[in-house]
Amino acid sequence: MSARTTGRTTIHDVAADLGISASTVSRALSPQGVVSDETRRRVEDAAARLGYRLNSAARNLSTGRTHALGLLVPDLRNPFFAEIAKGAQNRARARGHAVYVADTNLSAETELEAVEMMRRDVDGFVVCSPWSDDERLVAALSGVPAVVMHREVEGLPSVTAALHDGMRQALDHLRALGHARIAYVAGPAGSWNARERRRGYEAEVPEVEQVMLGPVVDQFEGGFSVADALLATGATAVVAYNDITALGLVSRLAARGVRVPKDMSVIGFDGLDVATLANPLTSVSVPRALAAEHAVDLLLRPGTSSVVLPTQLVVRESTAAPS
Amino acid sequence: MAVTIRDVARHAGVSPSTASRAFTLSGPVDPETHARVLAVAEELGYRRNRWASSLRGGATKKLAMIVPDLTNPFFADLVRGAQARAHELGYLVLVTDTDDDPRAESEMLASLADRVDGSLLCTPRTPDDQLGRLTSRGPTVLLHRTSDDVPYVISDVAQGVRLAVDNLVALGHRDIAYLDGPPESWSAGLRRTAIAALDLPDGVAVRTVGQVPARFEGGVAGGDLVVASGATAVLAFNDVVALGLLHRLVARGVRVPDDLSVVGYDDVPSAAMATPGLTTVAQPLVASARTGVDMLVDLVEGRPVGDAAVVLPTHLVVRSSTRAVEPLGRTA
Repeated sequence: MSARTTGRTTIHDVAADLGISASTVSRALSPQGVVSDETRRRVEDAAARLGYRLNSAARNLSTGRTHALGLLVPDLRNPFFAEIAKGAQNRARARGHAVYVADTNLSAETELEAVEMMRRDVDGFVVCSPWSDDERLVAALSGVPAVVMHREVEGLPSVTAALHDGMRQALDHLRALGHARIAYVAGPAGSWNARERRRGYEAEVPEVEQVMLGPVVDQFEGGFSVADALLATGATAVVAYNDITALGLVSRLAARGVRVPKDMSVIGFDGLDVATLANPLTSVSVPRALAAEHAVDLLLRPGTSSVVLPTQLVVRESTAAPS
Repeated sequence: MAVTIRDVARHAGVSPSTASRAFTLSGPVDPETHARVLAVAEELGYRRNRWASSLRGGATKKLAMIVPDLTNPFFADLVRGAQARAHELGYLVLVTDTDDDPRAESEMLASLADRVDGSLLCTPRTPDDQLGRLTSRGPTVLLHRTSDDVPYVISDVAQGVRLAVDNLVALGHRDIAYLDGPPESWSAGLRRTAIAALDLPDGVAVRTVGQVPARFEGGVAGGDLVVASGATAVLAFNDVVALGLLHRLVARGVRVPDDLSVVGYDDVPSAAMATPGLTTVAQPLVASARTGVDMLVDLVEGRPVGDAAVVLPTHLVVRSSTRAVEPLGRTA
């Protein structure tokens, strides 16, 4: 056993044990490294004997080595994140990097595990809308370049969107159409995005005029289920925390015989293509591919500060003056 | 110069994919061939680090998954299913998107080869004669595509097409349009074969009205062809095409399902979110990905794969985009 008594076995321990240089050990353990078969065998044996883990420190810190970036997203079935993955992939490829995407299944634990498992495979991480708390995320990402998207995390550079401003645009549009009673369907309380959007509504609408619904958990089902409660409030317009929830609302409203936008104006949030299905939804567009491009650039050109991108109301066919 | 699997294959007088199968046990290999390949490998000094993944038995605990387009909900569902099952088994799936470029597939696999224990491939556009190039890099399982060389999971396309058409016939439709996918798509080829093989009642016809890209825009473009065909019902190549079709039909003032019934294929999440909800053939997307992961992990961990050719059933999901044709002789 080596002289080191604390921490993990390092490449230096393996090198010392065999009386060869650390760089030879590194080459022997790297699939592309050029060493004799004999050396490779000796190094592999020693590494196994000493309990050296390939995914431990030594390879993490080398930058620009893998020409790959890790992208963590909570749920690829949500088109919002699929478009981010696409944007990141295209930008990184144009800059000579592959992107390995991990879907972390809306789980903080899976996120932290994925960081640990991928850290030697990538030169850095783009972490999109993570579920982990700030402290654990920063700890997991220590020693590896990382950028956060669509969330602010103390201690990490981020790319976010001007959500308050987007909410203001949505509410201004509805007020200009003559709506006085505008409901809001809140998203999951644990989500930074949902929280920021809700804060935007609360900041823009005087407390006595607020009509707060939700929070929904399952997006489409949640919107579908909250529609009846919405009708009971007497509101003539509603902003949903995202497009999928707005689609759920529209689906239930249609089943109730409520015409959109004649009887009820509906605004979604995100501006997804899926929101243009059949009955195109007015929505606040939040940058996805563009934000991913910024995040990749930020990762590959460190030292730049955080970026806040604009949001944009897109008026389609689900909003009109109250009848 | 290091000995490659190609050298082993040449000396053993077999194809590289057969040599690969002999190492990975990822498909049928004649016992005599198996022994010969291993003997040649030993003789040439083709060792461990080159086919490490199959011998290490899950050393990286990571699997690669190659898909053509993550923004296509079909693949998003597959990824989700694979990721969830892999997680249960202690593996992480690294997904890469080839941006619909079959040439990028081998680059991606090469970049990932040393970082993963095996690969799940979703490759609907790679020509058959180039598939071997992708499947010879260690343990591999194909999703929604068949192969002679490696295990695969697919759904029963003939059954799916039959379920959709039988339902339309039961609703009284006689003139049914089929809006086909792109000529180069492997799954569109299967769909065409299934339609040609249908045993239709007298007086019922299924006509292909056009071939469109397997995207929303493809359905938008196909909408006018469907309307011009005069058919009372249409089966679209997939849900995404069907949703584009719905979009165009609304713009043309054609009411769904009153004027035209629309059926999709796949049952991606957005099929249920459209208004009207899309009637569709549900492919077992999540189940197929889970099964594929199970097979791949068996290969990686050196267990025999029970069934190397898994065919999963489909079922029809009836929503609001289909309705019965008014019976003849009935007046308003």
